[in-house]
Amino acid sequence: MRQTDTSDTVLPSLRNHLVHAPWPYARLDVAALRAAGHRPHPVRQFVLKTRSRCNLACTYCYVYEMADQGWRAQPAAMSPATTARAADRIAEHAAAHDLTRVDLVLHGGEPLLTAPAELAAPVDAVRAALARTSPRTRVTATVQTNGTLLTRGRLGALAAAGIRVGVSLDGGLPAHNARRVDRGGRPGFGAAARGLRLLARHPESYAGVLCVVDLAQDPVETYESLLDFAPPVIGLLLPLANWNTPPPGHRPPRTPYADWLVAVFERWWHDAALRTRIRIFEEIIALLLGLPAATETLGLAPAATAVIETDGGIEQADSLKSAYEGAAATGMTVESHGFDAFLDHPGLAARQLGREALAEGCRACELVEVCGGGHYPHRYRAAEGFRQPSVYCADLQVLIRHIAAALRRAAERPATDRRAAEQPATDRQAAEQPATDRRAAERPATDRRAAEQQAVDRRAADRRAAGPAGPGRAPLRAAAS
Amino acid sequence: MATRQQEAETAASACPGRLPDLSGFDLAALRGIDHPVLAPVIEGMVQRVTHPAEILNAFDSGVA
Repeated sequence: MRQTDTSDTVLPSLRNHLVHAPWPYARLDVAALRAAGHRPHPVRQFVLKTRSRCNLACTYCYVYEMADQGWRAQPAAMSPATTARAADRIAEHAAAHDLTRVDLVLHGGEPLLTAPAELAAPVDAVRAALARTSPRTRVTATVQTNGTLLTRGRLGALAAAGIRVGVSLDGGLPAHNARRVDRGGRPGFGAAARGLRLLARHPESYAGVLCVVDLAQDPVETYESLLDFAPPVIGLLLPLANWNTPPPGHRPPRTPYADWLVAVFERWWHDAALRTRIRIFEEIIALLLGLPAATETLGLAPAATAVIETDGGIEQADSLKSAYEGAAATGMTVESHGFDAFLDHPGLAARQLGREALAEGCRACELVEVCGGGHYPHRYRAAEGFRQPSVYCADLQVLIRHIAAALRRAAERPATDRRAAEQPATDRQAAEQPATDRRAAERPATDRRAAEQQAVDRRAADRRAAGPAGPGRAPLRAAAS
Repeated sequence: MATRQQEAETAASACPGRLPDLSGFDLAALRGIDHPVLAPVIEGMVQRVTHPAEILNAFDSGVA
């Protein structure tokens, strides 16, 4: 049975957490969890903060402008020695858990504050370490940038290393980005837009755009202006906030953030075609259909992300920095600890508990399988911790119900006989192809489609057998109070 | 700062009416749906069934 780490580096961090967040730090007994059979879920996504400084000073940034000021103690860049140690630790973890894939996110600060020739070094180091230790594990990698430093040289270096690019931008017009300024107050939009236009000409490198919701901006205008940059995905983020620092416009029972997002949803949903993917809407649809989520902000799936700070510190979700000074800290480093030790940190263990980590009212709510209690940092209240409903609870309720109603209306339409609709196109293609070539060409696609349909049908049967609430999780009342 | 009263009111302020019953709808039922946005969304979700180990709990401050 593993005990909570009380080493010299971890204990001071835990003492800080106990003061600010009794849940989970005082009330979650990780040793009892393990004894009760609750196995940890391995880390599968590693955020490497290759640069601790940024060339912008966005007014809402959780790194520089909120409760945590830890960036001041960080070196400007991750050293080669730290990068190598981090790579070894990642490979060690992948081997121990037989991971088929790890996802790397180059982050910061601004990770493109790096010469083009050095940009891929952290990803190359991880690939090399995996080749030695866990050769079956493949790597996917992205860099999340403000886009202002995205040049042809940098994009070329990233593309050569198979690193896709995500850009943070709060809308496609200058007025949408008034908060995205440098330390002199000068707008970053012009340079960011140039970077995005360059990226849009290289769709194979384009991960998407991340946009923080601003109630002062028209939602449909914001969405449509982002379409001008042809993003494959738009991530719409609720501003980081909690019960002590509520978001702008928070006046219960009003739901301004739901209203904003519903306006975008209506525009997106009723379009003649899918112009882009919008992550929050698709995740809600997936969760409503009982599918696994691919986001840490919704659903009950266990957290699987570790952050490696510029100095090699292992941290929890970056967004926790919005709660209190040191909220993301663990006291662990890649030098002193492997990621298995991180799995037993109470802060991460709480975010792998699912429903049992939630407030009583959330556990009983019919929306809990979809909202998951909302994004963990949004639940924070000073001196109590993270076991409250989300400060966005009312907004999430409105948004989820709206999307559920739209999904039901769409699902109740008469189904299309897709084979009949596709038959004319299929007949034309068949006439143009020699018979032997046609049979050979059709076989792999047919086999794949049949395999997919079998998996989908099995999933549907499992869901029907589980009932409307879906597969449940064993309660952990003995280990969590 | 929001008060505990506001927190309790928020949690209780569910919209009127129940969540629509979607238990009869799933990927198998929705494949081929005649909806220009939902149809490709559903096709994209097939991966979550065919390759569940590939689905990551995606980092919120990144768009990948």
